[in-house]
Amino acid sequence: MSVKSIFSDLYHEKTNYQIIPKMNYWFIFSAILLVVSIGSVFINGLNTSIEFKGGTSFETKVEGKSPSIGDVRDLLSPNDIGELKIQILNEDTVKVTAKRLTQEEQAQVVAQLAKYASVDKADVSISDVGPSWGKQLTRKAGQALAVFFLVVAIYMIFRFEWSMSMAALLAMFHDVIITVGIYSLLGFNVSPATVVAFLTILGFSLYDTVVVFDKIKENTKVWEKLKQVPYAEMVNVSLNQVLARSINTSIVAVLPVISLIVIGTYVLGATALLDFSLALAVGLATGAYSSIFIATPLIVFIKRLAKKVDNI
Amino acid sequence: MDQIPTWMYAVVAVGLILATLIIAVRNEGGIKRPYQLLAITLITVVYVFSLTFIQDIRPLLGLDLKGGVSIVLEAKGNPSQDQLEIAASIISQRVDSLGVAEPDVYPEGQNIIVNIPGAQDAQRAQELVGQTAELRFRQVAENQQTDPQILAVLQQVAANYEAEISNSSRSGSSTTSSSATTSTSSTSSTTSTTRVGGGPGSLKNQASSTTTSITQPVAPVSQITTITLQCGGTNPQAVELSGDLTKVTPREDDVADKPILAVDKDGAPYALCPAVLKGDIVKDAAPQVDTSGQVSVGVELTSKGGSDFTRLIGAPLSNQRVAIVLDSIVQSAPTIQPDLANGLTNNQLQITVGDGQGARGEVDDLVTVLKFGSLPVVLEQQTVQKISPTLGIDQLRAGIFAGAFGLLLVIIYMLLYYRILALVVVTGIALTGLSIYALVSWLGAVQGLTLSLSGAVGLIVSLGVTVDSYVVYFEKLKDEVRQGRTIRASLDPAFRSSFKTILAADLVSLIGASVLFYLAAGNVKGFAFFLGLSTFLDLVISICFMHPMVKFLASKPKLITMPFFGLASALDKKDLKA
Repeated sequence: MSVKSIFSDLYHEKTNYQIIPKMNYWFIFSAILLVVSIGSVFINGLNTSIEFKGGTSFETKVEGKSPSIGDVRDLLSPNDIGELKIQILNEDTVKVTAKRLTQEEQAQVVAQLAKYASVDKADVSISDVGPSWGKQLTRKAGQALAVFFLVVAIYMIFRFEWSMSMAALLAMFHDVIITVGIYSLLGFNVSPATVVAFLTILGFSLYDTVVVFDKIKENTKVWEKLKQVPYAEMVNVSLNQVLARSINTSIVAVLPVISLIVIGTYVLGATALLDFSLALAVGLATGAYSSIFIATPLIVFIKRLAKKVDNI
Repeated sequence: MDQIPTWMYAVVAVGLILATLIIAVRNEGGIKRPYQLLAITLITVVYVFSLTFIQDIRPLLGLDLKGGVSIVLEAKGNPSQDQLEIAASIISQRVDSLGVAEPDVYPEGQNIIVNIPGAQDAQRAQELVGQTAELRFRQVAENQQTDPQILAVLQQVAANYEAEISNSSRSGSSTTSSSATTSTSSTSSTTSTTRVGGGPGSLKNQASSTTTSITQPVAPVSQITTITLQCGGTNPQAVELSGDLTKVTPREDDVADKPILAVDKDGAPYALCPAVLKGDIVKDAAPQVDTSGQVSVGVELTSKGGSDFTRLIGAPLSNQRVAIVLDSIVQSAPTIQPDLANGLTNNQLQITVGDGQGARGEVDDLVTVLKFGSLPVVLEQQTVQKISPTLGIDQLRAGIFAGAFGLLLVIIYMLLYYRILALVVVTGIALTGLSIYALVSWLGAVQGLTLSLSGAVGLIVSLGVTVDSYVVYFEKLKDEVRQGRTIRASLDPAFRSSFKTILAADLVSLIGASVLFYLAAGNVKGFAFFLGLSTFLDLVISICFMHPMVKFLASKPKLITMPFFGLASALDKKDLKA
């Protein structure tokens, strides 16, 4: 089938993909992803930013020349302030990350960098984070996560039947674990912005799932009267009916995020945007995948386990 | 000439918004009379948006977009909310002394957040903010009222202080959480009575404003380089104070064992001897009212504090005034009553303030100050972010470009997919955008809400949620038509059922945003707020605009059956019924 005809079928809602009958494949695929993700978090850990570990970083635009990592290292290493991580961003910006420095050491580095970059001292940005801030952040993020799960679980139970709520929540866990896994595997920087993005992803992942489930719920009402086809088939038909919409949802959600990554990072060099949008893009992709290939098949799977519905 | 007052604009805005909501509810989201709802929605949005120009307000930018220093301080040892408020107001006073416009200091959980906009010396700000505020007891110089040189110095100090206050209030200094800041109104006109005799020892708080009856300067103050303060009461001592005698002693020079020049909350000046005791002698403080309606502060000292008090203040300083100074500001300067020389009963002290409403407030302030002084909040610096203004502008520009580009991508995609119907999406996004701009400007002007980078990202991200509502509706509409109904007959059922889905999905988003908002701190809050705000607006716009607009278009049968309208082509129906 050509790409064009796939698009055309989607557009005219003529698809009939066998997503539910092949659910074991998706489950195995996701299981592998989950194992790799969890394994990587244990083995590689996460590349956390100074907000979590404590430390001091400096950032400045360099005027009149293109900065080099070697020059900056030569400039700063006589200070004896421990290991330095030096990055050149967007070709004209230097970012230096160090252990936590005293105010005197900070002033020294700022003076040296300002001189090197031919800018005023006030134009050197500083970020200084104490060692216990990360704990506070982590605790708050944990709380937010727990409360979010709880509130959403309660809401889902009222809105949908229990097997659907279960499926949606499991799919949400699936998304979080895989997103964290991808971060760990690829060594992306985990900053507070990333954590916010994680939490946002949960919302998106559910959002997409809710729309798909709503369709199934609607079709279930009709199906229950006649039960002409097995439940699984009805779900598969519903899934194909919302496929176009679900893909549209993901595309319109991901377009602004891609724009954030491209424009924000590579064109204009606002580095703060990268952490955030990267996590969103990864999360949106997993969310789009999971609401169709994991969350929906899970409903059928759970129902089969519970043997609640006849003609499954 | 005849300026229309702000409140009239506001009343019209509120009226229009209410009218829109009422019409929306009565017409069931445009199902009954779409024209009416559409018209009032457009009028409201355009009016509210144009208000930002009439009133000349625009969104306040966060520090990460305009540059500045942001410091997060964590309070150690679980201080109470009251103590945090005082600590914040003390820091706020100190930051005000930098003379920058709109600094923002507020407690958040166990943290105190300090935001100072503009290009700042981060180190100076850290030094200023980081010191722990101490409560000190300093004797008021015995010759404050009699020595002509001291009188001249104090007059100059008061005048300079007054000038500085009116300057900084003109430049629009901080309006947040400053319960103990420098108000120039004279509130302490309370008369004080003397309470002598047994029971708890008593101090008499002389109304501070009465002490500044300074008459004539003797010599030009600039020529005075040193003044000599008489201190010590029955153990007399002459203490020399030199340096810049034209203004209040700067905070960094305010050390316990040196004399200082200071003012009280009303700007009355004092020449103060070296500190005799510190706030740690205080165990507790509480307001008291006696049968005659006289209010006072009951102070309980620690047992060591009680004996120190008698030895260093009660006995030697009879009939002298002792100033209670917190962070270089005189809070009260009561006169020590002679009976205190005999020691305290149960380490109890009483500071008589007077009666009346003003006294009540003064007592409460003093109680909080004393409690704070007994256990000063120790602040540990958690994070310092200094964003240079150039980086801020870069981030702002990047945010705007990214938003615009993202919007463009979404619009192109929508046009490809929905053809003419996509114009409804574009107009809807425009209306949502105008409303958000107006709301953010207004919240900035009224509540001091700032738009930070993370807030901007929240807005960009929410674009997906907004557009998706249209997708849900349009797809539902196609479904209905596919089942054989006419387009016009499909509109209402499609809207009813898709709105349920939109509501469900938006609620999940709103739950997420609220949880983040209440539990998270700082810039995460900004993100959550803007995500929540635009999700909410999405719901409103889908009722007040999306459906009535499509209904309006559906009243043109030729238009909606055209292939490029977006329905016919998707449905493969040549014989589409309008």
